[in-house]
Amino acid sequence: MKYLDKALLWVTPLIAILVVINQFYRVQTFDLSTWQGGGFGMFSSVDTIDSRFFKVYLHVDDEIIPIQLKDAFNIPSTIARAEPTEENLENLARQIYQANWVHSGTFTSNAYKQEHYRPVLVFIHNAHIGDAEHPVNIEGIVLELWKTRLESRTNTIKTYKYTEYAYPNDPI
Amino acid sequence: MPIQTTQSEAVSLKTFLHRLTTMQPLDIIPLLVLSIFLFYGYTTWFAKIATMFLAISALLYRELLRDPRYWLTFACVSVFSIMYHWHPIDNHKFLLSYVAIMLFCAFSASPANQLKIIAGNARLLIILLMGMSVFWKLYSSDPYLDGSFFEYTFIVDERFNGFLGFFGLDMKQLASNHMAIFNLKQAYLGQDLNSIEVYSPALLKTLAWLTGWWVVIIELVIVAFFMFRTPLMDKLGHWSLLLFIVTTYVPAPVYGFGWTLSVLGYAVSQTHWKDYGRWYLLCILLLMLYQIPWRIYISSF
Repeated sequence: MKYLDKALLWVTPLIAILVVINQFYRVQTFDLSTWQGGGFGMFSSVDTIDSRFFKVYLHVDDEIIPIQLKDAFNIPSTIARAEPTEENLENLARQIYQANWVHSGTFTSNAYKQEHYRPVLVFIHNAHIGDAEHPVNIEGIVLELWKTRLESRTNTIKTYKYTEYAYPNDPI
Repeated sequence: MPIQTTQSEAVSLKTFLHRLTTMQPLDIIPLLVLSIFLFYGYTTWFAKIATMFLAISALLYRELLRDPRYWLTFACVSVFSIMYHWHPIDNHKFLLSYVAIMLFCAFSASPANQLKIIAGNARLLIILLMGMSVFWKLYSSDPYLDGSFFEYTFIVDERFNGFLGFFGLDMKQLASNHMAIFNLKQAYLGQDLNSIEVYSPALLKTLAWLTGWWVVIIELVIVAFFMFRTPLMDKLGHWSLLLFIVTTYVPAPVYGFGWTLSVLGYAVSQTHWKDYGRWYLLCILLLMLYQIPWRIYISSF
């Protein structure tokens, strides 16, 4: 084999090994899910992107209101679940902070709902903001990243909080 | 000037299989890789457009499939797609990018060494991916060998419902598991809930334990056999890899990975056991049959 051909033989394996080393480092350092990053850790751990989930709370008018993340936040949410670095968590929190959140209709004649009233905030895209809908003033955000695990003995899926991130950085 | 015509070969299943199994490896490998890009390729908009354009180009100019620039284009498209969506992208998309780089390198080499480079790279990629797969299973902080990984996976991943239903597990209860887990994740919007009971009978636990051990053993065996590069070890390695492909993709519908593994196995077979190449080609045909939506019909039994 010529020298060039010998070199060409090792290009692909070398790239693959570098990707694997990078993935290993990020799993160890930034808790990247072993399924991601090209390290061939698929089907090796229950700690997948889908088993990690966020509980998101907005601090509005002295109230802490849980919100549901809609599709508009899929990309930053997936990235932050895959690799929950401070940078990725901040990116998600900032996008939530900068979005428009409005109170959903709260009037109801249902006595149970009146008694157990909980404010609900919904995400409204800029293009759909009407004159009557005033986005609430968000004072802060808390992102909680949770993970799930199985307790085989009791056939129970349990959740536990893995990390928490407040935005802006001052605690609320 | 008269138009030249050639006598066309009668098209039948027999001639199709004959042509498939007698094609030159350096013709069939790029063709199969192009098929993977077409059917299981990258989902970024630029990758879709580039793949369509490159596939049509190869239909018009078959010689492009042996052109390094053609595979360099695919390699660049792959790398940009991975960088564009690095976090959620699956492992087989990384593998596909390595295959494109491998073909670029092979067709940049002198003709005498092209197949050697492809076969050598394919072997190293199989060893690396199977080896890393075993490594993460054993190194991960989650318990794996006690069966709890697959027990959790069978409970939360609905893609396995058909497989579990085949063994007589209650499909409705399995479906209710997914709803329970969805509710568990959304519960904080109403009242906080941190655990939920799921359907996991003894049979599911046994299947999970068996599957976990089976996957680790077969992956380890493939790595061990392909490392030695002797004809006997290669023969055992091929049978192990074929068994892995045939069995894994029945419950796990990750067909793009199965196709790529089959192409890599075909390439490795060109070192000592050229006749085994046809088994890998049959595996690809089998993976097509696996896509019959049999999982839906299991639920109606």
